[in-house]
Amino acid sequence: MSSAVRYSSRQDINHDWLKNRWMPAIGKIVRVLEGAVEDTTACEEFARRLTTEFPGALAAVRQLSSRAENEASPRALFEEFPLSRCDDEMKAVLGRLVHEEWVARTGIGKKVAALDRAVRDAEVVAGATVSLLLDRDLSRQDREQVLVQMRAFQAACRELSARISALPDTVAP
Amino acid sequence: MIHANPRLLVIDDLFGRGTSSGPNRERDDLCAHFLWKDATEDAAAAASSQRVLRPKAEVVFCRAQVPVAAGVGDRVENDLHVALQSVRAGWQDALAAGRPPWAMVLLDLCFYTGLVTAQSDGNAPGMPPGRDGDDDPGKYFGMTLLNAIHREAPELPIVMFSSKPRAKVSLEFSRGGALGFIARDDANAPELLDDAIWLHGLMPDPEGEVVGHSLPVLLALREARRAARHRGNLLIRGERGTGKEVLARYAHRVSGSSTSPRPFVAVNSAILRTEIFSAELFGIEPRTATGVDGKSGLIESATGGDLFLDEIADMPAEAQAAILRVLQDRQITRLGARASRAVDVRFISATNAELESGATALRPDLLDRLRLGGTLWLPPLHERRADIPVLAMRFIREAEAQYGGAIQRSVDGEALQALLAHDWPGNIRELRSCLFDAVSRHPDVEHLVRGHLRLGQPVSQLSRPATDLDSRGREQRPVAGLNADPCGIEEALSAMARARFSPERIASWSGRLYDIQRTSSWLGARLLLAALDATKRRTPQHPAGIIQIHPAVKLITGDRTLTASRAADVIKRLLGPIEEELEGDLREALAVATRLRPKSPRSPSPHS
Repeated sequence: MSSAVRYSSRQDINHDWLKNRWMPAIGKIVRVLEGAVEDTTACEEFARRLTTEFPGALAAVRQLSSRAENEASPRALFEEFPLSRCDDEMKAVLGRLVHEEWVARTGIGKKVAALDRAVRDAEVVAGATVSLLLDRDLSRQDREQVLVQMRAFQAACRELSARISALPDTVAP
Repeated sequence: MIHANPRLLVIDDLFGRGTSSGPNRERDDLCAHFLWKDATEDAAAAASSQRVLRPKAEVVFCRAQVPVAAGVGDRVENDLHVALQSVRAGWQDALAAGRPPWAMVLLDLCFYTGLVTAQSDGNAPGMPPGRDGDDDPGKYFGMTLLNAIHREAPELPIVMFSSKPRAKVSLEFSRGGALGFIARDDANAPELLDDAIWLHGLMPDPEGEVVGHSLPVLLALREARRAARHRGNLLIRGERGTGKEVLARYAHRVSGSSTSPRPFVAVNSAILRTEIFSAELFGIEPRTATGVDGKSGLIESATGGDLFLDEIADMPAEAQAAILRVLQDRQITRLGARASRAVDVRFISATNAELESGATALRPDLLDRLRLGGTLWLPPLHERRADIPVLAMRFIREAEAQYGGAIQRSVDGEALQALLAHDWPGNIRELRSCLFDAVSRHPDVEHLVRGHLRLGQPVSQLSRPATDLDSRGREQRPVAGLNADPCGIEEALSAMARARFSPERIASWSGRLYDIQRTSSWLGARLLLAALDATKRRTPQHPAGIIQIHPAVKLITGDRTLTASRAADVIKRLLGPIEEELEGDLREALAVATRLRPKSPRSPSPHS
């Protein structure tokens, strides 16, 4: 793997899906619940996306998290020229040392753990959100309760995005 | 028509893409989130079912790629030409046609190209997965667009609007001429965008007080808004009749809150003559012993708000020195007071003088302080001809309202061409007078035609609109033009004679009766001063002359039969109300009159 290669899945999830498509969609529902935007089918449509689209995206984030330490480690550089010319034993020893030093220096373990927590939180908040969206008739009182929940979901997704961004996006030299 | 909402152009592949039918869901979501009205003329906007109730902006989207509406199997490529066409339609074309131009362009960084696959189309219809390099900060197509747009339209405000990391392009976007970067995914992105539009956007005055949307006017309005942040003193420059006071009032309006209005005090610097400027500027401390009433000065009246000094270059040297001290110390002392008072006033000054020529008597150190917060330029009308149609309609409606006619006029094409072709040396004031003149002389026509317009006539020879003291006090300064110019006095007297006060707005004139009386007294006093000077008895022992009140009063009353004691009464009535402020010949004249007639004069009559 070239050191210039990016995590395409990170790009897809964080920028394309979460930031460009999912966050504006949440923003719209917040505006609808605030009464600033009229769209009679918006909440129902969003609840449908929340049950069909969101779980798959979270699964992709989990995969990203599980691969992060391995794929971003400078140990991968031993598979590229010129370090690839080292003998296997040298690669194994030096690769392990380089990896351990990198793990300690970057705190990648903590970043992955934080991302995992953000995934769990988002999943929990999403579940509560979809229940509220589907169960309530969005009369004035219910609307405010759902709005509070939507803002919590919005914050959870922002935290998720920030935790993904905190992961290294290239193999460190 | 006033466009209350700014018009934005958003150049973005995802949100700008078209559809063959049905809405662009991502665009709808973005518009709802930012409270925008989608004004794009495409199928996606037409198919949208959402309604933003109080939109903050009208937005046109551009993909900057072809095809605009792509499907599976289509190859999507970036297209600079398409983007520039959209820019020109709302910039050069709009400015030339007198339409409000783009207030701002919001520019994405990363544009995905390549073949639209079933998978990429499934994620977002019409979007390709992207090629190597599309997402490389060194090769972002958004930076190519930025450089090209800024090169072609350097005054057009551009702000980067992306969810890509800012740090990787911060130097490049600054070099490219962008005014800022808003992270689209920021929790406060809508508020950050509001701030950016306020600070950088080019928007007409939503209140319609400053009329027009030509580029120089929009730039001046923007500078006024930017200056509101620091409340530094402003200098407004422009020829006579370009609307400097109206711009000053805009600068005042945008720097305050609607819930707690702050004072705006306008004053013509030419009235700050030696004899009265101290009392006018600083006020008078009440004196119990002598019965002198206290009075706030102009600066004190403007505390917490703005003091507008018109025709600053005409300010006498003594008044300049006094203003300079206030600017340095931020304190004033009323006449007759021992203690000073702190004042918090922003000075907005205006001049039509060529300050660079050095021909004015304005102190350089004062000028530096008066323009510390910036200089706003108002162009002459012939440099903003695109605004003439909208200005013309505004003045015609005002004239119709003033003259009470039921007819709403339009302007015939030939007449409009004549208005557009005229040079307007008297600027907006001349245009206004010309149209008021046309409306008043032709009360029963539905169309103003070329023959109704008396172009090129001196403003003083046109039938003039009555001074309207009700409409925000624009013409409310009765002291304007009271200098040595007899025409100025005739105009001012005429304006004062026709002035009317609206009962609905009477509260805004609270406490102003004494100002009017004092100003009136000073008008008569200066007339008397000139007469005293003209009738002085000069002898070798008294080369400066000895004042003679009797011939002076006979001169200005035109009454040859007036007795000396009656002349003394006239002087006492005239100067009594401003006795505390008198100096020199006027003080002496009052002393002579009081010696001649120690008792109070009888109640005044117009012919006494």
